[in-house]
Amino acid sequence: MPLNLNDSLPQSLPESSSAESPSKSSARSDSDASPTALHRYAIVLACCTLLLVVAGGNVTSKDAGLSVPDWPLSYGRFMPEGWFHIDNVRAEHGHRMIAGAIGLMTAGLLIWTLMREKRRWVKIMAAVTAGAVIVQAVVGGMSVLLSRYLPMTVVHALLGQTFFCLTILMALFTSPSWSASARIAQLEAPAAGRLRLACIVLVAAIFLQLLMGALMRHTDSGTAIVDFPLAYGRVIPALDEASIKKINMDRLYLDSPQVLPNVTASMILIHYLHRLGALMVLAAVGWMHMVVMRNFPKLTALTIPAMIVASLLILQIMLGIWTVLSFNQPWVTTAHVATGALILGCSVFLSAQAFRYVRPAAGGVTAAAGVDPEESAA
Amino acid sequence: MNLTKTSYLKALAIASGLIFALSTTANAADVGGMAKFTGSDKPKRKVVKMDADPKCAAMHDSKVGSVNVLVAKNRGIQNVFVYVKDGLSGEFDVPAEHAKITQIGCMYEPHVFGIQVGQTLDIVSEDNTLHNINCQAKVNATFNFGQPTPGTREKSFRKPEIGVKFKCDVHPWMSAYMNVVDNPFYAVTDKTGAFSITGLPEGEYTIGAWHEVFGDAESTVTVGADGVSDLTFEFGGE
Repeated sequence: MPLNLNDSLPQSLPESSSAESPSKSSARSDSDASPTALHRYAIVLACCTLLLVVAGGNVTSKDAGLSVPDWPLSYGRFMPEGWFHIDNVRAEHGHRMIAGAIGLMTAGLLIWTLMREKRRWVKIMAAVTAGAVIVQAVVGGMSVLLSRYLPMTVVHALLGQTFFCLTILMALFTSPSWSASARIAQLEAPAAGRLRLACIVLVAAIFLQLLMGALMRHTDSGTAIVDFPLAYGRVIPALDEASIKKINMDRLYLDSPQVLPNVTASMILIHYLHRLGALMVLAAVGWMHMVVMRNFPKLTALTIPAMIVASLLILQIMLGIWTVLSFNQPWVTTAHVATGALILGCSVFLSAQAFRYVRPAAGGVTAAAGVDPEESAA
Repeated sequence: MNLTKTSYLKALAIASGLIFALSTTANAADVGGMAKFTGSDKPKRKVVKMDADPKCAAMHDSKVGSVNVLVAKNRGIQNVFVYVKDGLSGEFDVPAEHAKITQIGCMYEPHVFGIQVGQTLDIVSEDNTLHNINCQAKVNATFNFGQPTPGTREKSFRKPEIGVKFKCDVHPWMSAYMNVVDNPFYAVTDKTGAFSITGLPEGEYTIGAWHEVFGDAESTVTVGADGVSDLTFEFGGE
């Protein structure tokens, strides 16, 4: 029998007046606890960073990463002539322009946080965020100068998503509700340990999947398998030399909008692992969703992000299938990347909320709720 | 009398030169043949969409087809690089003449070409639009530079390497393949799939053939005074 923890919510949250979500109640009572303008600025930065992730994803989708071969200038100039009229140059140079703006905005966030924020750890967080954007810019530049050296491009892709998560966390940590929640006792629950573990597993699984996705994109393996749900008509694709030769011959006759590159066994394997990774993320999201909905069904600080993550995952799987069947149509592929970033961002947000509001029970809640611990564990 | 003697010496020198030239020719032969597609159906060319750069699109009045696989009516395959892979000895002079690849109409011309180690390659842009030329060598040094305006850049390569891809990241449909060899005996198949390597000394050789999609093939031939004219490389079979 699942523990109906919400019955015990009032006892668990001493400063909260009712059984509603702690975030909702605390936001109302302590709206001046944190500089609201800074919080809004951090939200804008997070939204703009998502735009940057989209712009970066678009660059890789169009294979435009090296269309501007120099860095930090573009064709030796700050604004190369005619850049806006040429698709790939617009994608790469535009990405650099947006990145520059985000860099300045992040510097602004750091300065503002140092000036207004009282919590030392938030100041450190802002410094880490600013440091991340600088490292990201340098790694991006090196990727260009080293002609898309694989480790560099993969690190650039992953660091971009990490930076996006940092901006989300900054928006969360500077929110009035987060500051106010410092006065609220954490909800004690036997399922808290499971929730925390589910969140960690979820974020790790998504990050691993992002790694596989980045590897796939930067090794030109996105079109290495062109059918779905099977892989060249098989559950497990054949990777022997004769099969690869036949696959490459068959690919010549596909009705693709562009010439498809020859594939190798390693390209097919990388693509296939990304598909398996999707199953792994599906399992992790399913578990997290089950833990939240069964144990904290009225704790909106958890249920809303949990539902958003689950919904985004469904969208993401559909976009992934569409990406394959469209032979990596750039805008579909970019939407797939952006949705992946949103899933990661929401999962990190959810995890932060989970760690903030819920902690493993020391017996208090269970006793107060009158529920047998053995029963609740079952 | 002096004049007669001079004329005699000149005639002797010319005759000696002719005899040497004839003897050299007698020891060299041509190796010819074709690259043939043995698959069931000829692959169709795809239409290259150049709307990503309006300037490129404006350079063509009609549709441009993809060039990665070009199979003629006689099933000959164009753009197969054929070269002497093994059997030669000694070193060969580096040609003073430059090899050349041109960006024209937002395509590379030629699509496949050969060059000797140390020979200079002229990378020419005749297009009035942005290009970058991204050399994706694995053995030789890579490079990637921009050619925003018409002009020429020179490069050379130190080591033999087959199938070095050149691509333009501004225009993703643009690709070309360079083959760096250490001898002057190579050829690229024409529209009918035919090739001819001229002036090859008599001997036994391994002749290699490479295509960007179909991969490698090779054949061992014995080149006599009459040369070889029916060397066939088959690609695309089951």
